[in-house]
Amino acid sequence: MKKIALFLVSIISLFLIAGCSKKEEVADIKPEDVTKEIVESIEFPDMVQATPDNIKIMYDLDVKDFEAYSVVYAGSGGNADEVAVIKFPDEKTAKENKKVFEDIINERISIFSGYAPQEAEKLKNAELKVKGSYIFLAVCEEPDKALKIFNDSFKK
Amino acid sequence: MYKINKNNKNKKFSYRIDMVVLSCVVVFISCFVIYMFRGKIEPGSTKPAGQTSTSDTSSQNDSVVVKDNSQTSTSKTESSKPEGPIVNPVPQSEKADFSYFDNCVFIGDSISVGLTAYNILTPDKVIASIGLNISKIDSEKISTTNGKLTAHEALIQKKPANIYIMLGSNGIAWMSNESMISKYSSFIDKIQADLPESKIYILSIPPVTEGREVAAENPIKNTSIDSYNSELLKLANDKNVYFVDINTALKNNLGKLDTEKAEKDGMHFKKATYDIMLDYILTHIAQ
Repeated sequence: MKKIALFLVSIISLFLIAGCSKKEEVADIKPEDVTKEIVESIEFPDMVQATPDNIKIMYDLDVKDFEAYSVVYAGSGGNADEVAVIKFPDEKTAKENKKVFEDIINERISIFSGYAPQEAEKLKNAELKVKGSYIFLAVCEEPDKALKIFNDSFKK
Repeated sequence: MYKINKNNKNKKFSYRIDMVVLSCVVVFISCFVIYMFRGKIEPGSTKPAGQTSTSDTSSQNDSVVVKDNSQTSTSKTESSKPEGPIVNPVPQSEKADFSYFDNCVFIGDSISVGLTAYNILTPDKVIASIGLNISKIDSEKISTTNGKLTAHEALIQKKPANIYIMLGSNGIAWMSNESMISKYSSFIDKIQADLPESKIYILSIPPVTEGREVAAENPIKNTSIDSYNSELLKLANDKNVYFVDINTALKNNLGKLDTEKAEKDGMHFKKATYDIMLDYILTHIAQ
């Protein structure tokens, strides 16, 4: 009887583990539509669309490794504002790359703290999320509003 | 006709030598005739067809200047460092084409970052990072198109004909002029030693807005900027490198940066302000 109970518990545990680790299924979105809506909804300094060369320098990542992307950032070097929506081939790769963005944010916090503390604050309050195979980054005055726009874009 | 030898072999040999000489003369005359017609050499000229007369050369050069200013600027920059004393600040010159920047690299801080961030210049033309100041110029690794390198390492790789340096805006609020100029001087020495063919231009640092002068956090006075820029001018003269005074080009009548030309911080540029700066550089190139 004990053996049967143990067997049943094991089976249930396996199902639970499988259920918990199930990959997040998300709809496809157009990154450029999301960044555009965010830039239009929140106050930003002059923003520019990042080129593949810019992205290589900013994140040391190659856009060939993305499935889709849109990165906009403040043209002036004095502002930390930035919005990035990047689709990786799968959720695992997106999660692995989250560390790259965490490191960049920390590095920029230390740079901006010296001469532009208000920009360092923006970086400290930045929203960095992984949703499905997407990475979302928002460094701006209203990062929570930017995140809501990103999340809502999957429901459209 | 021929010398009669007892040895038949010798007779044959003499006959062949004459034939060879005759053939050579015929070939030479034929070549000369073809050469004259194809080379279109003017009568009396002794130049080979591969070369042209003086008038031809000058007309070709003129056409290059008209067609492509970048080639013109390259030939200008090949002249390397000035041999005699130079005139600083660099006086106004005929405006160069934007392609002049193909042979340039800009080194600087967050203000120079804007050159590439606004996609005005391609990232390979700008070696700059947000927090860069002159005290960190030898040690700070900057993200470039060739990976993370110090400014000096990146310059060695790129070997640009013209190097523009704009450093000082980061640091002027807390570093002494002496300290900054001393570091600047060492940096110039290193570049001159390793890239003797490159022209070095020191850019004066730009003014700030009136608002930035009285800001609660990190205020910067335009008088401090002016004082630092005069030290930069002396440094340029000492090192026999060029000095381009972009500060004057960006100042208003009150000696400050117009608010509409700057971002909220009163120091960094709006995109249009970079156009003013680059336009000034294109009209102030050392001859």
